[in-house]
Amino acid sequence: MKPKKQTYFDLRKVIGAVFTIYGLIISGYGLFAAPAKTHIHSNLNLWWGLVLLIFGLAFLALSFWKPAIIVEEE
Amino acid sequence: MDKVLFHAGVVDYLVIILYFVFVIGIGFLLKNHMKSGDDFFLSGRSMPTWITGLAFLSANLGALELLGMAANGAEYGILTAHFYFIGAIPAMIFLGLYMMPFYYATKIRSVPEYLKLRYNEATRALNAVAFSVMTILVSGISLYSMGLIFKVLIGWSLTTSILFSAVIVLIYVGLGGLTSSIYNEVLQFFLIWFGLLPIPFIGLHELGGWDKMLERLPDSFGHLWQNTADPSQNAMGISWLGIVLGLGFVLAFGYWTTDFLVVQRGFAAKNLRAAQNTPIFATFFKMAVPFLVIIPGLIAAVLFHNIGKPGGPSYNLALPLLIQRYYPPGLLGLGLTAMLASFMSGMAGNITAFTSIFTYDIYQSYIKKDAPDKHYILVGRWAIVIGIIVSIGTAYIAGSFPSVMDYMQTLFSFFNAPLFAIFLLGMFWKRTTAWGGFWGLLSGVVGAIVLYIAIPADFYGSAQAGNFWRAFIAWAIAMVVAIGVSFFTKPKSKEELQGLVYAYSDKPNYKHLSWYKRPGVLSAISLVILVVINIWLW
Repeated sequence: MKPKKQTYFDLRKVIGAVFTIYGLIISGYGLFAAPAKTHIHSNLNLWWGLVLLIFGLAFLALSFWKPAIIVEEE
Repeated sequence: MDKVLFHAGVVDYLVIILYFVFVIGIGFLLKNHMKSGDDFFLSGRSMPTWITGLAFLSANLGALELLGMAANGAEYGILTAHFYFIGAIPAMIFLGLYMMPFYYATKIRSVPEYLKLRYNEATRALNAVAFSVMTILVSGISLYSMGLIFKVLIGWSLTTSILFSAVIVLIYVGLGGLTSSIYNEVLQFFLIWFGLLPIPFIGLHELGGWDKMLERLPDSFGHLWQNTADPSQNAMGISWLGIVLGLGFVLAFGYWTTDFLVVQRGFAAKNLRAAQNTPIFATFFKMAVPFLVIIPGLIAAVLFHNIGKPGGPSYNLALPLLIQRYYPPGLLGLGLTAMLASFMSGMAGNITAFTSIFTYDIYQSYIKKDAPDKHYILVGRWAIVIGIIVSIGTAYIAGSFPSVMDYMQTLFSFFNAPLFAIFLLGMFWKRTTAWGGFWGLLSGVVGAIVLYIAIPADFYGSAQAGNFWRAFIAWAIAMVVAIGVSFFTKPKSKEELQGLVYAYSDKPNYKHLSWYKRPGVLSAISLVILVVINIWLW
């Protein structure tokens, strides 16, 4: 074992970025193109895209608020 | 089927392409961190619980699981959820509370390495070779299934889909090793959830809610236990005893506690407590997965009357058919990405497990013992290349079997059930001898194969019921032989067994920590939730 453990880049930033971008694309597409499906009456793209966006931003916020530090316990 | 199920538009392709950019990007970002063998094969033992826990779950949430379980849901109903409740949770908790301390504290790098320390070189070699063969076969099955799905969904040829997917996995696992695999598994976990979650909501909404949906299905579809007293009363043809002993005890414990594919995720944790909490944390999410895969199966069984019937679509298309029915362009891209992601995590998990076993337990043990770390990383990268090339070959073999899901469960009943018996004895009965372990393992595997050949397929209610009972008998054979041989051979000394058996190991004490950090408390909460769900769906 090495005395000091490896720190990798923060995974939360990647997840946050992926979902923020997906949220923007899908809700934006829902807002401007508004594609519809016969079985659903609401704009699914817009609403689900917003959910993705909020989730992505929450992960990004978390990763900046509480940076990952590896604490040695035990 | 020549007809393509989906017509993906520009926005859908944009979503899919972005996913690949991120997956490969993760590989490149991690490449520079891969300095030692520990980094490449064990992620430097530095991961926090939430990452290893989600990766633990997602390594098992492959495309076969996703499509296969939705298919089983449409065919057998809620009964399929036993795979997520009694067939997983107790075993995962047992791994976290009792087995992880042995695995993690002895600093072993693979499951066969424990067998070498506890038993002998022969037992390790037997397990390492069997596991390598099984992993490559399973990896080929995932590759084939996904190729097949993408052929039907977006019209790529089988060979194009297989080669394309193989190259992507090769790039990101080859660059970043286990860390890359784990990071991608966590990303995939969220993609699968967010990509598929609208389906059960919209589906239940369309059918008028849970009770309205069950009214339109056969009675046994809505119950976990009520119709299992008599095997002929439920669609799976299984009794409660078969579920408890075969699935809940032997198959589940055999898979979740000894299969290196899942256990390896715990090895990457930053400390013993994080390693123990890895499977326990995963149980909470595991119990939620049926909502994502089995409920859509039930919805499909109501909506598509001819599913699984001659002339109708195959049960395997339950989930894709619902995506096609509900998802507009844009969201369709996300749904397809979720399925692609589930395939990637299954395949990458198999490849990383194979690579570690090959490098440590075959190459380093028998071919070249004392090489610098850099050499083993190089060997690991070549093992990935070779593993993927062989998987492409086994993908075409998998294509020649009629039911890949049954084929895979059969493989598990051959190898994992006897292995679990040997681990149980090795860890909790210090009298078990080195050769007792070896002969127990060998006779269990051979016994399972003999049973498979000797007993005609129609003897059991269904292929699943056959797998449950065969696993239980294989486990019993391994137990009896290992105990028998142990009485006639010399046991290992106390010094040799230090830290390897329950009687001679340090018990971790977490009394000073707050409750939400303690493995024991988290396990108890998980078990209570399990019982409540089982009563609710009785």
